Amino acid sequence: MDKPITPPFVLGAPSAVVLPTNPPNVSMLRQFCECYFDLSGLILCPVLGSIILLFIPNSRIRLIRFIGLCVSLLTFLYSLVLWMQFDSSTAEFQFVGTIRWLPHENINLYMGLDGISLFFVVLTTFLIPICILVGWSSIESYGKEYVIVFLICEFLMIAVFCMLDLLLFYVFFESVLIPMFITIGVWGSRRRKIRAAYQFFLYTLLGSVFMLLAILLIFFQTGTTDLQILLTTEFSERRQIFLWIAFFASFSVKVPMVPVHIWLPEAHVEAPTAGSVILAGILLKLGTYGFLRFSIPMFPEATLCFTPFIYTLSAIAILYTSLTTLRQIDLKKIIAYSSVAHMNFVTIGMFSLNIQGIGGSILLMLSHGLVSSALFLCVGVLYDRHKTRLVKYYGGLVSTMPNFSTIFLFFTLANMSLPGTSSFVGEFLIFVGAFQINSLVATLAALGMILGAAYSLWLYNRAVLGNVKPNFLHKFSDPNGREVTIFLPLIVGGATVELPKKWPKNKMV
Amino acid sequence: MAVTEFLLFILTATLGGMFLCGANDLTTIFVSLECLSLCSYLLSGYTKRDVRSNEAIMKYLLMGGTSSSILAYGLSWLYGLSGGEIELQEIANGLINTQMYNSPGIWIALLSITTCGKKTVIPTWAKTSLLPKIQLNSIKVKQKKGGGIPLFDSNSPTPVVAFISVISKVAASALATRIFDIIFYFSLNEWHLLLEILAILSMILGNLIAITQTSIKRMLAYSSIGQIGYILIGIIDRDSNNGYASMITYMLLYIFMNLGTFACIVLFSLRTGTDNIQDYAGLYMKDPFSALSLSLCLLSLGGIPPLAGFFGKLYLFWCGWQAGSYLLVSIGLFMSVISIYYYLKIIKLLMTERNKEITPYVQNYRLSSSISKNSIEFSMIVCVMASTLLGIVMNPIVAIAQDTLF
Repeated sequence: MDKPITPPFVLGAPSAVVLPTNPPNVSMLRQFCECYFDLSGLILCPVLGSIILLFIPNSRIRLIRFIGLCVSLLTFLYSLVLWMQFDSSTAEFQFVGTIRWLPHENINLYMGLDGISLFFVVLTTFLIPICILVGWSSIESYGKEYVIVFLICEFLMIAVFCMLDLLLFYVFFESVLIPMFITIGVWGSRRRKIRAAYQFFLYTLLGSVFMLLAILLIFFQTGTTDLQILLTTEFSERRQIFLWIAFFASFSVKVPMVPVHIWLPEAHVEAPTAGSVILAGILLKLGTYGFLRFSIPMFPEATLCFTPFIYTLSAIAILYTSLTTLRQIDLKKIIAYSSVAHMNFVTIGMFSLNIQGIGGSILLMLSHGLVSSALFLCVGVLYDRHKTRLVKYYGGLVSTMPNFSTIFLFFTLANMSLPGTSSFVGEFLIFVGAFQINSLVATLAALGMILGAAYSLWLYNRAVLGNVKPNFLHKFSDPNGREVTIFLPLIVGGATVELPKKWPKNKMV
Repeated sequence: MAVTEFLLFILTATLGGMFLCGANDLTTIFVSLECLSLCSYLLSGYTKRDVRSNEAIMKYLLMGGTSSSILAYGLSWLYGLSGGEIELQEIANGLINTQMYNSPGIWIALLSITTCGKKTVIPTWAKTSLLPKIQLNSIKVKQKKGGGIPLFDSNSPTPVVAFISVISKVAASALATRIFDIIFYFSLNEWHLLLEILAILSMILGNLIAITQTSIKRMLAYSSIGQIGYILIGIIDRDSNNGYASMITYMLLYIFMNLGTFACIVLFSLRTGTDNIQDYAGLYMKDPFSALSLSLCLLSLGGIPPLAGFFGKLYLFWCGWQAGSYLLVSIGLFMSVISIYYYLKIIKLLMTERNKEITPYVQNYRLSSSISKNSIEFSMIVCVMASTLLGIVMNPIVAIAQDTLF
């Protein structure tokens, strides 16, 4: 069975497949799966959708939202097809495509997926339709721009995860800031939103300047920014240390690590619900993905040198943020701080540099993407109804919103990594991995897990159980059909403990 | 006020600038520089009813005259040292023949040309401080008059500021390239040192002073001083490291970014009559289109990916790093972040919603649809498109720039 040679940039169309000796009643599905899909279609789909939306006048808002939803669902299906076609027996990059951009300096748009990025891409395309659904009725102003901004954000995020060229990774990594800045600034809910957006932008940018310097240095040493070539270059140890620190400056703000975590609670509190979902679900993963994809493979000696540093910072972060969470009174801030704690679990696991640690960190990243987003959606449901996020006004929701309480319970238990949820698998593997390297850090991190149970359950206790507070809230309504539809896929994802058989086995280099 | 003379001055200034870019001997340099300068003086004094405008043209003329005479003095040194040659290449040959290329005379010539160059390359403090004042005063004049006013009335200083800032930079950079590369070929270290000091000073001072400004035009003027610092890095790096190509590319992108920002400012001041930064608050509510254009142009000036300004700066710092000017590139990167701070301040203001911050200017914002505004909107659209999308087509631009140099 031959595939005709196709140019690398086939615009999303499956290339023709020649099956010379097949029986006439071959199933459509098998034929469909034989086609070779391309990454370019995945990346271009949201862009084309947003361009189409630009031309529809503002008055037809339902049509705009519908088209936006369809485009994002189409992108999701496309990524699922890519997942099905993914060959999990090799550790190489697949679906590789190149677009020549600057031939002189050898910088090209070099895209490819491997086992790690595949799941992040699927996570991204999974969360964006949810975000568009969330803004269906709660966004009164600039509805068209809302959908367009999210589609452009989706395009940029998929590009970040697919990009195998260092400079272009950096370009897209920083470009994600602009749509997020717009989302927080325009549709944010409170008066301090501009300040939050501003802080978010400046913090991230300060770190990224160092990374740009490091990329220039790398380019001048090796003459290329192609990741696959850079993975095989030898940097001297001193240079590795400098480059690692520069990359760390940029990634640590995104993770976020203490002490540059301050932007996260502010940004989450001020952002609209869908903005928080994207922020927690995907943007936080960009930092740790950067560590996994660039810092650790390219600078191994420096990584070994700085592992105690990362462990210290992460352990401090976990304990500090978990303790801080206990004192918070704003629902979103609680979940934001718990996000910080979870991402620092991820860095502990990642820098243990063994198979359990890294596998656990990727699992925890994915499950955190689902669970944190779901928690923010729960808070969004409450906020849509009562316009307040302070915990003291809520109580006894179980008697008035029982379905919501069930869903909220499920995600609270997942947040504290109860065995049976996907985050437990991730955290357990992280502890196993970290314990082999440094048992003290693993113990401290496990302490953090206990604190996680403390704040999650206490929040649930205060908000949902107990007596209804009639002084503050008068009208209650259980989540309607649209909202339950948003939660269902997340429940399915969060409850998955056994991942499907196509989990790539040997993708760790 | 007659529009004819305004157009005449602008066209003649452009003509002078173009000749300056192509000048190959001392007389042409001097004559075209004078042509450009004289027209600039006259443009800055265009609103002659206004006292401030007259003050501006007086100061500009005196300073310009002084620096022109210093330039003539320096050029005469070159004439003498080379043994009576006028053409640039012949001067270089003449300097070799008379063995004078290491003499103190060269130093004198270099210093005087640089002093004159300071006047054109770095928009002087006289221009930056006076022209915004002109704008402020002439705005008050306009408000008293009221009624339908043609475009080129008391608001002409803003387009004039835009025009002068861009054209003087482009022409002076071309001139600097030519002079420093051809004539002062042998005094490489000296003029490197001079230009490095100038670049560092421009970048640091321009960006730091811009933080404290309250008038948007003044802030833009100081930030353009910072931008010139980056461009000087390109000149320092010379041809072998694609320094000049990066400078030309950045100049092209800078024209679009700068003119785009000025177009938005002109539009805003035509509609509200103010150029105080605090008065821009809440513009997004009333006029999202011009707020978005202003944001995009400012972000591009700051160098945020994926806009064009990022790629221009990237290429500049690239060439700088390759040429070994590590200090300059580090300072440039750091100052870029600082410049983003004050650009973001404006963007932050544009999006605010709190009512007590929004001044009466924006609250009474009228979106009029008279014909005279459409040309500004068109140029704004063109500049915004160029400053966002040109980054993608960097490769052909850079290739053209590299091919057309020495």
